[in-house]
Amino acid sequence: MSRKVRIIKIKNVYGKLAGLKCSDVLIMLRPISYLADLNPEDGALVGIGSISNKILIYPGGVGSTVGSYIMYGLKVNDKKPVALLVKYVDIVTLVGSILADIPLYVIEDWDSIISLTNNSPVWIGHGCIGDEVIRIEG
Amino acid sequence: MNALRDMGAKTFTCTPYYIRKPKLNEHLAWAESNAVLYANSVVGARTNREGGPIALMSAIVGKTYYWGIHEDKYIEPCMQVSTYTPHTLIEASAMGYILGMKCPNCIPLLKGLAFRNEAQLRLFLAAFGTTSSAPMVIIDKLTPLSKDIKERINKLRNRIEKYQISSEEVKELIKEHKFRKTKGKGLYIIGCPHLTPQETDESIQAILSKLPTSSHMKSKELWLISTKPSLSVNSIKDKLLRFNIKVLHGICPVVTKLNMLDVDYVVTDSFKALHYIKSISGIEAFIEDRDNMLRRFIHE
Repeated sequence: MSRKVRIIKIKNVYGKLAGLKCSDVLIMLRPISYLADLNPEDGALVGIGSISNKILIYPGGVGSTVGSYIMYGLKVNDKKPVALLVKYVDIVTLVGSILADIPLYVIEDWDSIISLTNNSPVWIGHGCIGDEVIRIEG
Repeated sequence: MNALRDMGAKTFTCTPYYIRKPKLNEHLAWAESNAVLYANSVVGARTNREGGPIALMSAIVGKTYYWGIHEDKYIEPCMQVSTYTPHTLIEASAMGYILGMKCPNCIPLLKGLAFRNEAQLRLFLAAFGTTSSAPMVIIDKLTPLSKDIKERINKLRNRIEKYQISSEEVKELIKEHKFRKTKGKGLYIIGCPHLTPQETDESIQAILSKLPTSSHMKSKELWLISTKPSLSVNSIKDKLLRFNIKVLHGICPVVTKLNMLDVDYVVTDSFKALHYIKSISGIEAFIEDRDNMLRRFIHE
């Protein structure tokens, strides 16, 4: 069976990728509370597993302002994702991505993410990210 | 903590607005979601919802960046939400939790909601901050707004999405997390966000009037967490300790790894505490109103 391929425009907010990066793509359709949902020691995100060396797509951050430190913990423990791609940028996520030096992007067409996942709360596939687009197979 | 003390920090609390209430239109750089929401929504000051590091940097330089909620144009609601005056603290907290899930990244405009007391308001805002990233809730007849902002919001009222939080929705959420008999040692937590000294004293008085003559509360402990040390507690501290009651300050039950203490389950009146304790400490947590918590703690 042939796989669906989508090319989705993204806009860089912070950080740069050294060329095209390919990895697993994890999509969550609910916002993430970093303090509640993310373990900085092993990089595990509740409901989806490890985000280390993967591309993570989600609406954005919610909850505690401790979240920026939790993201910094990913860097300290060498569990950083390749990049974070969000629908909206909140300050806790932005500051966390700067502290942890994780490239941060905004997805310009969020509806295409919803349609890719068929509205499933969690979706896992593979993709390659450049500075202006992400190409996702699933 | 010592580094912060060296920098001049005198009080460690999530309710700094009870230590120094900000002024109307004062520009701040605060972290701690419930404090940010209180400053913007209740006092009429202006602070973005900073990550901790930026708040610290602003404290060092005495300045913050002029962006976001510091500018009038940012204060714009995305949804008009109507609801009712909550009867209990946990209803107020549940409403905030539901509202945050409806508005994870934008400012809601609340209609028809009045709070019976300061504790309801604080629990509501803290729960909203748990499920949303918005720095403000515009509460009709409570949030101070300039004439210009009021006029702009009034023009928007008919154009924005509407939602109603019903009592059924609130009760359903409470029912889902309501206290169930559980084996092991229970930790009862009141004070997320921290209690005012007056609320702390009131809770202590309520407990003292009901305490039996001898302690049988071996499998339970009660924490009352206050904004600052309660002076009236000193003389009765030993008596309270005999009943496993601790009046604390300068601690946070949310970021404390309770699983490292001898605790099997938690009972609290705060959806914020419930949400984080379950996920961070991984122990069972239940919601219960303050009066019921004290009754259960003493009598069951």
